[in-house]
Amino acid sequence: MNIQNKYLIKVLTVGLICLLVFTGVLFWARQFCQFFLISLGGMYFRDNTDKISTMDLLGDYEYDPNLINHSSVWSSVRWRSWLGLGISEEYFVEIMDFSADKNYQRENYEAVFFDRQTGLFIHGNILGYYGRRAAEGKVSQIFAYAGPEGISPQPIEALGRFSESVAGVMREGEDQRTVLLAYDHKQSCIIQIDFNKRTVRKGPKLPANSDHKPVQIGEISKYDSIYIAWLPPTFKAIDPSGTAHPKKLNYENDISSNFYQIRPHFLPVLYANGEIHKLDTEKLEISSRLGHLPGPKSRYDMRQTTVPEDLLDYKIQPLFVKGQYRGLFAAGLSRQGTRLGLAVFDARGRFITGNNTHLGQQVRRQPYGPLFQVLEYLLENLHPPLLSVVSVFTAEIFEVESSYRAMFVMPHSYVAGYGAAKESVYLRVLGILSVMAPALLLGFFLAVQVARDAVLVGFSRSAVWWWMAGTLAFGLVAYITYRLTRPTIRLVTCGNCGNLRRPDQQLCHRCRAGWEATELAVPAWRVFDGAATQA
Amino acid sequence: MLLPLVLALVVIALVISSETFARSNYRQLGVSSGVVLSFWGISGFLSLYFAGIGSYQSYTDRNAKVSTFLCTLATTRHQIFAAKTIAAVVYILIVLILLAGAYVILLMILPSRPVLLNPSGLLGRMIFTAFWAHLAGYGLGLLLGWNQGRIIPTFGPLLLSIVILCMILIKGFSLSAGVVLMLAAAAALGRAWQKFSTMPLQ
Repeated sequence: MNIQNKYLIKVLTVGLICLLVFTGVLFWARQFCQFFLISLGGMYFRDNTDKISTMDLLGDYEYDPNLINHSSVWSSVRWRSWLGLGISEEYFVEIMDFSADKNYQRENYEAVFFDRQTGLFIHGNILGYYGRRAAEGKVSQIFAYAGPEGISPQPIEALGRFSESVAGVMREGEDQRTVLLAYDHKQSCIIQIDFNKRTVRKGPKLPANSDHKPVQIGEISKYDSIYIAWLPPTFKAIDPSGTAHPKKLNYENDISSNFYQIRPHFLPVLYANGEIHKLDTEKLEISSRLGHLPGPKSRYDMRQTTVPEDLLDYKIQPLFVKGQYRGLFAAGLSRQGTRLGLAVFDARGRFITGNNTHLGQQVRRQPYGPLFQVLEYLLENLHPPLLSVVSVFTAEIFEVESSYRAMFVMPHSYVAGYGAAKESVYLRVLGILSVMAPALLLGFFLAVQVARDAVLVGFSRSAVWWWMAGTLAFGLVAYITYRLTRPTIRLVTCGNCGNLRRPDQQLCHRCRAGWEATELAVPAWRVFDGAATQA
Repeated sequence: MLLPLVLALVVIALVISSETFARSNYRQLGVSSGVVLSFWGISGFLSLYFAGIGSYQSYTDRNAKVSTFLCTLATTRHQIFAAKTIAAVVYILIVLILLAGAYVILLMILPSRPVLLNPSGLLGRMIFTAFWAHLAGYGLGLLLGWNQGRIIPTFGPLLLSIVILCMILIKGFSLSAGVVLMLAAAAALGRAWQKFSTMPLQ
């Protein structure tokens, strides 16, 4: 192996180790900044979340002469960015089963879940702790297997098979029968399975539209980390002694936010595009629109999305007053977990009001908040610029959950926020360059330093260019790699140009002169054999 | 062989205690938590252990001139390095196979066993990630051991094992963590081999 190849291997191996260690350290530093920002921001505490009035939902109640306060709603989130870490993902999703799988429903020991191996829904009793995985492995008693064509105690072929299904369970009748409503993509219709009556009923075919693909039926939420609270209006009531005191609508008798408690003959269905529609549980048809998920804005207010896949979490909550459906509250958390959107829809599915809780605004109000924001921004700028640019293009590719485990690219960074912006290319490039300005300046400064030193050390011109390009692309990581792999050779003076040159190279790296050979001057005199010449 | 046995005993103690102290309804959860958390802790300890072994090997080799002596015999530097690496791989495999065996047997005999017995599932991924984490630790230890001073060969493995452990914490016991650690192991062993094959032995 020649010297150049050896040096290349040395640079690549040391560079890779530096990259791993450096990005790991930066990841944790950014995590700590996030932790402090979220703690300071207080978006996750009810006192700091803006309340919005919902007076248009209740009509007459809000215009009562004895009214003291109008009704209002607010939402908050439990901080869950720690759940994005790989080890906690394993622990909480795989073991404790806080998964987003809504094909598993359980009531005490009785459970209904989708068995992927057989393609059938299983209704049975399970043992052990709460969780889908446990259910799959620990079914103590199976009551029935259900397919699109029928229901049976045995998993026979005649039941047919579900391909990819979405299901919601509801309790029907006075005896609280377990009734499953499933949407199967292959069948393209809603299928009702009544496990107690042992009947399977199919609804009409739904139009084939990828945007209108149901992704959730019944209880609609991703991780249950969002909390929505509706505060009913308060009224002045006069007791028999003549003193006035506030009175509220009674939560136990008058108000409900549970479809299963009211059983209104419809359930909400969430589509892949974020729209929420009404599923008629009698006709098994999807009819009118109930609302849509709110689009919490990303960083810099540049992109809004209502697509469930792109939201970190979402939740919808209906409002029933005295058994009558009055409207719907829908909340959504942005990918970065920094914006919480809340929308209110009336009984006809019309948007009434909404708000967007902004972590950044709340942070700015807190002492030290801007400090941690600046620190986070600077830490992001220490990241290799090339990986920051890659983050711009890959920010939307990552799943929301796995983006919290990204070490090398930063899907939640400030620069990736610009990447996701729906602006013109010119503005996006300008925005990216301005956000990355400290990183680019640092890279340029380090590249100049490396180039100067590389020339002094005696690197060839092409090697100096490679090092400059590498330092511009990888920033501090490349600089550290250079310092660790820099040749430690004692330089000698070039006889031609007088500068220092490397003794292990044939030509001077500055003037391209070779080593000076000792000049062998031919003497002017010669020795002749006089006798031989005369002869 | 003492280390795997001690670790197997630790695993048994942790998993059984996690089952014993969990309430009856949550025993499976207790056992599962015991499996993941004990494996994570043991992986961290083993990364430190193998990084320490690597560092110790290089340090003693440099000071006691073991390789210098071996090179006077019919042995090349490449052969010495290959022998070291193969021995480390075999040792890591023995430790991991014994540990995995302890887990599997324990989970089979426990009455409240969780659904983690699928070898291609969580346990398989844990072993895969742990193997590369330990090999990366060993390679980085070898690199640190060549350092001239005493501080870096002594405390370097501790810092590096923390870095490796944090990487598992970020990525989890997953394929992506395994690939990142595989790259780290390849880079560390590659550099260690290059350094060992070019350094003067005197």
